[in-house]
Amino acid sequence: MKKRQCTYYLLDFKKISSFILLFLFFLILFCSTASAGKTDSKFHILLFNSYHKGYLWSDEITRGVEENLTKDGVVLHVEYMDTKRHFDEGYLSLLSQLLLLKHAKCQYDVVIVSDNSAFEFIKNRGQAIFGNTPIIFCGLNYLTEGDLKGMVQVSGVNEEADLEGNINLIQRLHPQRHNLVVVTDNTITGHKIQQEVGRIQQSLGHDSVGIELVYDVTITELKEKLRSLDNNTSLLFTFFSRDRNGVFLEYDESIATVVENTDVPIYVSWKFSLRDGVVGGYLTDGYGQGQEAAEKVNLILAGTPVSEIPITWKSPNRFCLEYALLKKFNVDFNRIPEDAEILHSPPTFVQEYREQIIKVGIIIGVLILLVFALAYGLIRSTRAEETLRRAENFISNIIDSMPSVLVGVDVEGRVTHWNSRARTATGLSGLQVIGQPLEQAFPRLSTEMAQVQEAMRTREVVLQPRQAHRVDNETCYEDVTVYPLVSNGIEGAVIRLDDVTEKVRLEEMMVQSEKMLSVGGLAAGMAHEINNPLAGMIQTANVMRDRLSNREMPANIRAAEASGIPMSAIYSYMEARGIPKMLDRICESGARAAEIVTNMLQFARKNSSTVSSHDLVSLMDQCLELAGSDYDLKKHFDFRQIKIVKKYQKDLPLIPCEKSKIQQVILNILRNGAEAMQTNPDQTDKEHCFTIEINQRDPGWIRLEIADNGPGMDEATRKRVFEPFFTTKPVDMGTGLGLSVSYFIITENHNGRMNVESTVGEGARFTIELRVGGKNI
Amino acid sequence: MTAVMPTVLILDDDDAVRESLLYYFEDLGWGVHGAGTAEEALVVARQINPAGVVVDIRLPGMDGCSFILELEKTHPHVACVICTGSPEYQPPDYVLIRPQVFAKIFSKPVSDLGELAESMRQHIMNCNVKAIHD
Repeated sequence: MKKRQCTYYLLDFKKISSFILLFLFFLILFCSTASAGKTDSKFHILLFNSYHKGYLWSDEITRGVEENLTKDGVVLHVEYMDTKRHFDEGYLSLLSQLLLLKHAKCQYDVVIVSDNSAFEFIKNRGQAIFGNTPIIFCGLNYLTEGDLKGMVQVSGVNEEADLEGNINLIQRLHPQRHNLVVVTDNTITGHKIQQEVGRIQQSLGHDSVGIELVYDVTITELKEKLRSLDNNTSLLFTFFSRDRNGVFLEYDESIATVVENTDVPIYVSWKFSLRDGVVGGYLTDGYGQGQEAAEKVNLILAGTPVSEIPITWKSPNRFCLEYALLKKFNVDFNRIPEDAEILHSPPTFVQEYREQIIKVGIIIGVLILLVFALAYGLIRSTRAEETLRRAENFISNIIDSMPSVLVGVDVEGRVTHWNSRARTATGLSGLQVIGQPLEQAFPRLSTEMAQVQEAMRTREVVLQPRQAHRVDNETCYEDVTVYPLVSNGIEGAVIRLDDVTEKVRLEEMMVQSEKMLSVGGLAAGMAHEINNPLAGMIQTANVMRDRLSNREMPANIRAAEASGIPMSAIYSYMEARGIPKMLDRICESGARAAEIVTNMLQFARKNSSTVSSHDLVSLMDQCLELAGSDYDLKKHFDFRQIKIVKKYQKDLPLIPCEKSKIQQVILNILRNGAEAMQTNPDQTDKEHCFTIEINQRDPGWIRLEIADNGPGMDEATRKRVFEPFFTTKPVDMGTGLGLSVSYFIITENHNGRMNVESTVGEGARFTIELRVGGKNI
Repeated sequence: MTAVMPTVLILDDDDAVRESLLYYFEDLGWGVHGAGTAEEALVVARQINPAGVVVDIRLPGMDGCSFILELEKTHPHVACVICTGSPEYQPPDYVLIRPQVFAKIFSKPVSDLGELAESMRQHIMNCNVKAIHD
């Protein structure tokens, strides 16, 4: 039982939830319809015109209102009071009933009244019809505070034909016309204008233009009046809607009548009166009134209370003038107010071709922008070029100042770069070789093409040190390095040649020098060991010669007698067999061997040397004497046939030196010179001469020059003349050590200087310079 | 004639050199003795009292300079002429200043043996003069 009840409740809950769903559905539906109804409730504005549709003034106001009601959802209702045609009490009573009916059906949010008739109507009956609905008026002529007495919830804009402004304008534009005719009528508005003109006449006084007011006339009278106007007169037309006989005239009718009947300049107060033949005026216009009213309505709809919206007392008037008529009446344009609108003025050039000018302007603008952009680009690129050029020059300078030959080649082996060293090396300028195959530009490098290809293929630097080549009969050496140019793929290679000839020579010289030193060391060690056997040989040979050939030696005689052979027989035999000469040969050979050992010892650096002060002049003379008696010299040439020219400076200081060493050097030079002069087949008839100069040009140095007039030597020989083992003599004539030992003695042992100058065919000049203070200074 | 010729001692470890000098001086009529080492030469010198000695410097055992100083102890007036195989050899000053040491150092090979013999003869005479003065 209890369980069933539970089930029931459950079922009941299901029913309730379905009801809730249904309720929610309808709620949503209702809400949406309710919001739809709300969008339907718009603002309803009533514009209540005094006159009728088609009446220009009313139409202008209507247009001003229509075009300036900006609030969304505004519905504008327009009613026409039509008082130009109907204005009896019965009509007005029925009209108020009609409006009451309409307002009851559709509540107006704001009522706009235009012109005096509608305003008067609303003032009297509005409260009854519209209650406290806000009232905005416009087009009210000559409104005063009194007119608004008893009205609440009201604001609006005054309409005031500015007669004074117009009269001032006419006087200003036509100073020569002293009379002014003002045309108006006898309606309510007409009365107000008559009053205003009277007030202006009084304020202007007697000096001013004579103003004649025309108002209480029939159409015919008006026409007559107009025709009678002379050219001393101008005319201000306000309005003329009813003549004295009650004939109603539309705005355009009355002004048309005026225009047709006079030639004087016609000015008007209201814009609707503007037409052909009217000069213009300081104009009140319907559109401006409607616009001002609409703006006040906008404020109300935006929530501003009417009481806070001020009444616009100053009628929104403006100057408006017809260009053609201003011209016709010779008006001075300088007198026209600055804010005036000139109608139908011939379009200025700018106006006439406005569209074209804009187009052309745009095009010119675009072109100017383009020019600027181009100029900017040009400046940028000029600067960039300048920078680039400088960078190029800089890099080019760097490359040119390299002591190496640098040649760039492309993948096909054509020259792309050629620095100044390359120019010097080949004698070809960059212009001549760029683009040429490397083989053609630099034939020596044709063998390097394989290396270039290899460098480009492996992208690794290929170095080939000490490549030998011949230049002017001399072997030169250069290191050849090939650098592949790798950037975004392979673009070529740079070949660099470094002349290492001097380096190689120097290294060789050092090697030789080292060799000599080690030879010297070795010689010092073994000289004793060699000299002893040599002594055994030579000395024994000497003893043998004595014993075999000395016929007076008692020991010889005794031994010969003991042997039974007479000494003379032995001597004869020995002579006959040439034994003494052979023994001499042994001695000579032994002596030569000993000399070589002694020479080798020269290369040993010795600390203990016997330095003493010597006069270089006497040392030189001793050497010349020695040379004259020199065994070798005597054997090969006659030193005494050589002329000696001495140019000695007097009173030279003594020089600390090793006399024997210096003598050795001098003798060596003399010997070489004598050999060169006397063995030269071209110069056998020439008088051989040594010129010897000793002087002190530099206070620190004594200078000894020995010049011969032999064949001289070429530059290659000259450069190498001090190299050890360098010799131009036949193999058996010299060891190539003489001059290098001399050089060693002067430069190493004496810390002096030695060099040689030579011109082929003119001889050689050896210069030795020794320090006055000795080797240690 | 033989009586007037002096005796010379040749000190040289090289047999050929020593012999060549022995023969040369012998041929000139000098009395000659040879020694291969300084030690031997000292012994010989004390036995024979030579007038002069040709002294080699580089020797096995005692060297030539020490020999000169050693000989001086017993025979201060024996003329010593140095003849060495080391070219440009200069003996120490304390040896060179000895009056019995001849100023010129002969180098082997001696190309002019006559000069050597003449130098020895002169120097022996000088040394004898000094000996008489002493």
